[in-house]
Amino acid sequence: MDLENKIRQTLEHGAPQPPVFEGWEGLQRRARRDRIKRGVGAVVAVAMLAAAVVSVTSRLNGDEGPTFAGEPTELTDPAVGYTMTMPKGWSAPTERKGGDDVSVTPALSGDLTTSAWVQIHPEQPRSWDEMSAFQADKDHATGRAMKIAGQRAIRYTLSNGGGLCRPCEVVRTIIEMPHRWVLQIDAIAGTSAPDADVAGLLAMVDGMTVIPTTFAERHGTMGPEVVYTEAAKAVAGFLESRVTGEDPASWITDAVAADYARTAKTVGLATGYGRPYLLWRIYRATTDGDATVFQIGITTTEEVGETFLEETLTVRRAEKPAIVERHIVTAS
Amino acid sequence: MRTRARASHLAGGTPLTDEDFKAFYEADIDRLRAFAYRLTGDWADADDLAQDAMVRTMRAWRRIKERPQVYVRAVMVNLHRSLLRRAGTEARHLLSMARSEEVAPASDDDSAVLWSEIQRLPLRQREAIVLHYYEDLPQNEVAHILGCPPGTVNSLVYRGLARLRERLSLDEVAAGSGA
Repeated sequence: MDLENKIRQTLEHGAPQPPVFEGWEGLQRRARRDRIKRGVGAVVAVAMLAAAVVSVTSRLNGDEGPTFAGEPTELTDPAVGYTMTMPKGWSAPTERKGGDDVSVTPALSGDLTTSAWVQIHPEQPRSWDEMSAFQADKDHATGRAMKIAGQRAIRYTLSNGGGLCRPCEVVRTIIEMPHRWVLQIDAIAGTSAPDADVAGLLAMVDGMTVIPTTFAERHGTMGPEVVYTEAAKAVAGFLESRVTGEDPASWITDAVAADYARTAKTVGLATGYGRPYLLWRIYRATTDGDATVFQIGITTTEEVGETFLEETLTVRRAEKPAIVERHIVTAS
Repeated sequence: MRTRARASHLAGGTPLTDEDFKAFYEADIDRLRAFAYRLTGDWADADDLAQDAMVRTMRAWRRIKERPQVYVRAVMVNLHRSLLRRAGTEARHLLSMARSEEVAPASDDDSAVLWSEIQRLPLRQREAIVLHYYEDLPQNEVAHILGCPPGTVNSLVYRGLARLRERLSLDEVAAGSGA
């Protein structure tokens, strides 16, 4: 007998007699248990989902999660130089010595004389796997800062040390405006889109306005005027779209994408380490009747505090809002 | 000798009513238990697997597209794999020890050795061998149950046979030298 027939014979007749079996009634019992188990599982799943939603909402509102040790709790502005130690385990491990603290430092821009910056320097993620934790830290910090800003009517900037490439810095500024809050995002090619999305979500939760600004690299073949003009156009577009009542989440994404595309087109993606970067920022927003006046300044990361250019954009809130005035002040 | 006709009990379209399921259950459960035993080598595990696979099949009864006999075997193979994954290395070892103790084929010594060697085959090879030689299922249905291409079924069966040949010849050598 060949092996295959031996196998057939053995499998067919080699097994011992089966024991008594529970049969159809046993199956019915198992089916009932299965239905109960699945029902309980569904209830637990719904409960967990609800808890997760509450948790996320709370985190977005800055109500939960780790707090900054020494974080001011009363209606007093943190003084310049105020240091808030990050909770243990809150920040990713850092290569910087002592850099993982949150500190309140003088505003780097002369225009922001009444503001404070909250700077955090979490560890640079060393791989894409670490990005989510890094992102969560930044999001949490943003939530906390927004909460503080909302309570105290002061301005904060969260300066998060970069993405995978060191010079890619993401800066968020919360600007006090007479009639509403503005969270400003300095969007940076290649790293900014997720931040803008998160900020957009936060803004919707808190009912804030989100304005991304552009960020471009000075390049040998491109004069600063070109960058200024492009950035001014972009900012004007952002503001205009904002007052037309479009969903912020949609135009932020589009705007950031446009910024990315423009940057990639004009200067390439070679955002080399240590090169000067141009930072576009809305320094001031005031209201004048039904108009909102935005002052936009342009600096570089190497020469913070020095404004190369200021541009004024006036947005009038009317039935058909539009940029009604643009004025470039200086360009050095 | 079993023939292809042996698989006739598995034939038929997909029934749609609960009564049909009960009829299917009554007709197939013993064979399913036996199949499970040939995978696990333990009657308690085999009965659990067979009943659990039937519960899941009953749940999906009206959605089943393939022959229910194939569907329920595919469910059972997956349940068995999940069970082994959860059991972990130590439990698997204990399981195999218990299995080798329980298995006591009533036939001759050669069959006992062969049975034991089949139980020691790697899981996927054992699944393919049992489905092919015991359930007598065509290659495409074995492939469906195992979740692999038909060519892989051939390969699994071929490698399983080769391993059995090798082990049986080693046993014969050992028996000969022992005598």
